[in-house]
Amino acid sequence: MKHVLVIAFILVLAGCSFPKDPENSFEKAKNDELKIGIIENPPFITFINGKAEGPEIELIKGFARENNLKISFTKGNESGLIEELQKYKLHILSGGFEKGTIWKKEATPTAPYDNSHVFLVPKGKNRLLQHLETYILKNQVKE
Amino acid sequence: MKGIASFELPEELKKVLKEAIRLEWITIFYLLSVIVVMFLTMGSSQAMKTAWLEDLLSLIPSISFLIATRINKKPPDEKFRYGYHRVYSIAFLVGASALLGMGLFMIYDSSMSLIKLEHPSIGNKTFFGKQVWMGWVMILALVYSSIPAMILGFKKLPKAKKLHNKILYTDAEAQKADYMTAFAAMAGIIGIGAGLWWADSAAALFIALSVVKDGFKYISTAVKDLMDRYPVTLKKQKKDPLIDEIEDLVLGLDWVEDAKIRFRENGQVYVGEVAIIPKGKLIIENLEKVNVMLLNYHWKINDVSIIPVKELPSW
Repeated sequence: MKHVLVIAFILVLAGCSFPKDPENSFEKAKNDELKIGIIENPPFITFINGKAEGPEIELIKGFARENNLKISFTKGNESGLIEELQKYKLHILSGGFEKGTIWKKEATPTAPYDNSHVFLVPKGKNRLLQHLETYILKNQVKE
Repeated sequence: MKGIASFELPEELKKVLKEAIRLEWITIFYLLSVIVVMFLTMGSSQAMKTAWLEDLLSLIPSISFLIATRINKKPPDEKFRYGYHRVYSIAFLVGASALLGMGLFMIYDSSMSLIKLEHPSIGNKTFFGKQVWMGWVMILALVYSSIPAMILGFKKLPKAKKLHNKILYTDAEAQKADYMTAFAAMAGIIGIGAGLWWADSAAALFIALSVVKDGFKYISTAVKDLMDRYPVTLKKQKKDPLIDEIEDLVLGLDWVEDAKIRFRENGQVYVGEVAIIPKGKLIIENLEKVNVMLLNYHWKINDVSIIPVKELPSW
């Protein structure tokens, strides 16, 4: 019974900002900027005259707007950007990744924004993941 | 007359056994449902994975109890002249070995995720239009994996004691203590939620250590039984007082000058020898009488050889 009470107490305490990120990354991104890695992968992301466009970019912009986040984009190739993500130098990776992506071990796929496509976030960033997924799930388009 | 050929339990214990078999079937179906629920919710949490493996492992005692009970029912035959009682000790050893092996793997797996600084992610899903953090769902799954298990454990414990059945007993004890695993895993998940990525692997390591500890303990008991240690009580692992009672009983007979006895555990029952130095001339009827008396003394005494001697044997 004692255990149950202790756990209930922790839950109530934690309830306000649950889950948290280790190192508070999401809160830091709010003050600083949200760093997005992008990989060209039409039709999800297309580079037109050096500018990235496509449905994934729209989603990220929408997410940033809703959470008052500044964003910066870093272009690159998959393996390079995955490495940056693993080092926590990026917050989100966008490039038309699929649910069962081969990078599952290196990064965490979000909930799919359509039937099968996801963003990648660094492992363990559960607050960032939650905010992003809240936006994705609200704007999910299932065919 | 009772003897090695009488492999059956007394009437009242037959009922207990039947009830125990029913409980173990319930346990198996319940555990299967737990395994499915846990698998669907575990995500990338190491603590959940370890707790899931532990649930998978806890199927072993139930299944081996049911199989062993089936084999144990058989009467002695041409090939197995001592009956099939020992199947319980063997099943117990096999189960304990599986537990130890799996425990060691769990320690390795959890340590690696700790060493590799793996940060577990727990995402979100929508249920009936509401977004839910999967951590809460995992905690619910853990509650489902522990409370019914504890109830089953408490129900099986007295039956295991009555039947002197070690598999049933360890199964019941492990289930009774299942809340420890569930609490550890819950702490791990809440830890993840609080931004403590290491809490998850640490919780997993704690669960793994407790599995290894149990594995060692059970293997030691199983090996000692198979090495013909004197019969012990289930809980405290102390010499069963029944053995001393029998010694007193034999020594108290008026035609007995001196006697020495030894017994060992064959699964649920005891088997052994009584060496007697008779006072004066040996009367065969006396030997027969003492044999019948001991076999009727307690159901656990399954077979006794009475050996008349001039000098007590060295065992």
